[in-house]
Amino acid sequence: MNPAETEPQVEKRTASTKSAEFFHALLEKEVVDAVLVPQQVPGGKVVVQTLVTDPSKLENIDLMAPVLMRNSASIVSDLSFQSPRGKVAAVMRPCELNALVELVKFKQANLDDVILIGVDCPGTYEPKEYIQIVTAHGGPVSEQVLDALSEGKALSFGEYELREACRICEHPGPANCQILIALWGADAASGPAIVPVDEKGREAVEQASFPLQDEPPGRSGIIEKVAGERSARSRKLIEEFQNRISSLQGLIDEFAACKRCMNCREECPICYCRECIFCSPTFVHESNKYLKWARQRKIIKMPVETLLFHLTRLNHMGTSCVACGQCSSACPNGLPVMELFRAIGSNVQKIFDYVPGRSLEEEPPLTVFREDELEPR
Amino acid sequence: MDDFEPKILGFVCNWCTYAGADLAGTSRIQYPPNIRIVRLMCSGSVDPLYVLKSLLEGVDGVLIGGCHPGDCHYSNGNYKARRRIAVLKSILRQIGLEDERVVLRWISASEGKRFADTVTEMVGTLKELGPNPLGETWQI
Repeated sequence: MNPAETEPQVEKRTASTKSAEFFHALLEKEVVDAVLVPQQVPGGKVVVQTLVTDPSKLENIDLMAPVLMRNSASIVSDLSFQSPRGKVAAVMRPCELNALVELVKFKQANLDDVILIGVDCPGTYEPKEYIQIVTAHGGPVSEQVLDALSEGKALSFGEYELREACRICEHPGPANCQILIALWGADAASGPAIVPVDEKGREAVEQASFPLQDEPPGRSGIIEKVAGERSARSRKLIEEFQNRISSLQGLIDEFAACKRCMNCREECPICYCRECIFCSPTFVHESNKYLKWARQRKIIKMPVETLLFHLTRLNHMGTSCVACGQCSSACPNGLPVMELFRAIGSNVQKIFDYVPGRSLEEEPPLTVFREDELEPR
Repeated sequence: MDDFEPKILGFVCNWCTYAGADLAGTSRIQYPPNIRIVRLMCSGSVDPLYVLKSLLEGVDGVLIGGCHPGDCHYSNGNYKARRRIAVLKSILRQIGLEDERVVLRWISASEGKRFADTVTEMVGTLKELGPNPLGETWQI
């Protein structure tokens, strides 16, 4: 069966039914003006974030689909950075919430009118691989995902591997949300548990007249185990990568195929500048300048300033990188952008004992200072 | 290597280090002529981008000069510079470039001697390190 030619089958998506009812209630009882929620596109090939104001338009909700088209932190930023704005409930994965926390601290998003609904995450596949998985399976794979998560097992779809960023992700469960949609350890038959995390979340669930649920009993144990395994993999991968770039030539070799398309910057949820300096006249060079460079060095790679671009981005937002890996997914040449930021970012974050996404209270390191620090230099 | 003369670019603040450099000159203090100075209003306005750009253009060392802690004309620009340069130096170390090529130094308007000593010291260090390898790479 080719899913592109058939309507999505509602009865196959029982796992999402309960969450759909919850969002239905949030809209119906006017707890929020809109919900931002992942839904299957018509035909079910892929899942995208949708902004929904009418409760009848929630029928293709899919919170389990292991695919992330874009880190929604930037979407919530768009929805909330200025007033007047509506009240929105946003469904987000752990890396999206972490990125949003950073954006709030950079005054790029405002959570006053946002209810954050965090959803457990098993990891995601590259969109094109997800489409292949769905096509091979003959439809969305939400049921299989919920089955695996309820037992705390890793996803397994043929030869496909999760994105590397997900395989080394130490946050299988969301933080900094008001309501949790618990999938790890959930009862596969009754579906995910909708658990208020704080007072704002409890209020919203009560206003929606939805039953208050507890976290599934096995969840924290599963999360600890998954995070531990991934953390071990992360340490190994990062150490290997650090060795590969520890000589200048190593870094140059790794990024030799960069053509400075800047897709990585485009998809980065943390890179929030409205106008990037790399798009400014500063980087429009006189024609002769290129020849000068070439004469100086006898040979230069074109386009120029690929190394400068990555090193500058590392300086500008390496302290706030949440390692969501959208940069690597966006790279047409498969460069290890996520690995670079994870390897170098984690060390610059250590200087200030800063963990991006950990808390709204911690100031981003480059916006503050202490009088007695970093001496002698 | 004996005839290697390092090129140094200096980003210095208007209120302290630039005046310090000026004092070095008017006091006729001798120091190596290897530095070229760019005057900025504050060390806090030095985007690491410009330091990286200089290194990728092939200068051998970069001096960032600001007011002493507590003396910044804009209260805290130098403290912010200190954090940015700490990040930059950490990144340079991690990609295998000697972080001694980048020096952040507090030099006040009355410290002409300190400015001259800093330049002399940097020239010595850079002569030991040799030319900046980023000046010869085919990728910039």
